[in-house]
Amino acid sequence: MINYALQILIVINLYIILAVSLNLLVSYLGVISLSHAAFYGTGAYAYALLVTAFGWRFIPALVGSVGITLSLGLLVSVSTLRLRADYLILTTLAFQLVSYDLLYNWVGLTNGPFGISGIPSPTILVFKASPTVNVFVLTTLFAVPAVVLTYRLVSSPFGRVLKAIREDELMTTLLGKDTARFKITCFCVAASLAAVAGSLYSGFMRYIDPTSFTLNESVFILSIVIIGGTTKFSGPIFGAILFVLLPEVLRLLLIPDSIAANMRIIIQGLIVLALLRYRPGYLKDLDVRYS
Amino acid sequence: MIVQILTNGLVTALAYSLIALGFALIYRTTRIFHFAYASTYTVAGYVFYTSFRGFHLPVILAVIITLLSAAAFGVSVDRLVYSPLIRRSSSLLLLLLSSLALDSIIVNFIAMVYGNETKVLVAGLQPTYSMGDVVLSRIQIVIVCTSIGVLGIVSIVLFKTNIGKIIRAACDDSQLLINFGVNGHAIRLGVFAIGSAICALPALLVAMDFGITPFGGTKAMLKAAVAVIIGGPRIFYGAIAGAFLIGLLEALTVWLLSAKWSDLATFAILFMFLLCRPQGMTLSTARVDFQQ
Repeated sequence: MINYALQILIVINLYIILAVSLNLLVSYLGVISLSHAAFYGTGAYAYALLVTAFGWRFIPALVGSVGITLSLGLLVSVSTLRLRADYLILTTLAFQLVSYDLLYNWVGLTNGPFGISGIPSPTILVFKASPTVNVFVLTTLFAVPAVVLTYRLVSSPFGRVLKAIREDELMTTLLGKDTARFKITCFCVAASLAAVAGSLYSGFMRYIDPTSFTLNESVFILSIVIIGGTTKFSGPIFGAILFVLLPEVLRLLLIPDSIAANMRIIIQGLIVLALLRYRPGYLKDLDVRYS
Repeated sequence: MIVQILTNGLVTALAYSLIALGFALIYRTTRIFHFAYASTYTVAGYVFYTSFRGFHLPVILAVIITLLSAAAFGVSVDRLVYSPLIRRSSSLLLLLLSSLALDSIIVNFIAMVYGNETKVLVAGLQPTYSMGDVVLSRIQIVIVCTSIGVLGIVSIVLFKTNIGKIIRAACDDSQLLINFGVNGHAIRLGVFAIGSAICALPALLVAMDFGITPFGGTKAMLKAAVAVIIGGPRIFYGAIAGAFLIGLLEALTVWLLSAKWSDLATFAILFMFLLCRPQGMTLSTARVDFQQ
């Protein structure tokens, strides 16, 4: 029982990291990105390969995975710099599908649909994260700094420039800000945090396969952010807790597992639709003059 | 061999051009990035499956029911989801989000009712016909004939009738058109109905060819969207040019590399166009939309 609760808490920690990082893009830069699961997956696979194929230890593998995902984030942000809202979403969506296809079909590197198994538990010096309690401590040690880091980032002058870009990019350029640099930095920070979550996921599950990093996953992370609202920093954290607990609640209601997964997505979709329809103030930061 | 590959590519391209045309009609006139177009495609496939396999209706009747229900679906998405948001003057970004949410609801609902696995409509091998070096299956010939027919009808409506003139004008500036006294609601209604019905045809033809899954619509819609974007702002020629480029490129990828990389080719070409030629291929110059 305690193990079950701890596992849920670990998943909540992971999704908090994912949600606050995506929130940087959605609420502060005003960019809806559908490729967060791609960064998450890249991080997870990079970590798993570095650990299993090269025998790296936890910290170097984590740094390597963040580095690889960061360069990918750089690529995506540089190539999408000039795009408007709907083209940008389409591009991130395309990127998500491409990276899933790569994970699934590039059998030589990723072992395709069979995934990577036998990932060792993370070990830092003598501290071994093998009982669930230790994994929980480890993920908390990353989730809390991730939240603090993003909070400091958005309440700093850097965050104010991001909000200015969201409101009026042309005006921000005229004020002498290098908007491209800010956008790229924001993308890279979000991608690196997703890579951290991915590496932790690899270390915690000890087996990964491409089905954890689908478009549905991207939509799931995005709906966590949307349901948290874009006006408060703490929104996505509560969103993550709520949406991770939702399937457990469905299980308590004795809904069979075969339809529970679809049911979960339907409920999320309905909540997001209802929010957009009846509580537009919730998302007013996204509702900037774009028509 | 190469002739056969190119012919297959052309058949796919014709099916894509219908999907892209329906998407272009909705996207270019209303500016809504209609993600739920993917679920229109899926719903059409499953309505056809239910009426054809479930109730054993004759093909013609099943096709008519499918077209009507796709049109009804498109119109009700507009009425129930988009219109209330537009009335409150929400941004297009929020419309897009609601479209995305709606799509995931519908797709998962269908998956819950019908199951995740592929449903096969026509079992066994289909009769084939060979013309010289080229072999075509019966359903491929049907796809070619229907697509050319529909493209012909749509081009006549778009370029020879008053309705077509209004639709093309709405692509340029729908607000101006409304100021001239044209009924904006009627345009939206018509565009959603026609666009959704057009996409139902390839949906059911592809369903007969390959079977249907609940998640097949997303890729179809994405290819349509990519075709419309790389094709450029002209509603008819843009969609068709983009669809043919994608269809032929996919056929070549299947031939040169492997079928599993054919989707990558589509998105590679999207990236290239967005980087080098964001105005698409049918327009030589473009107005710079710096920020919208």
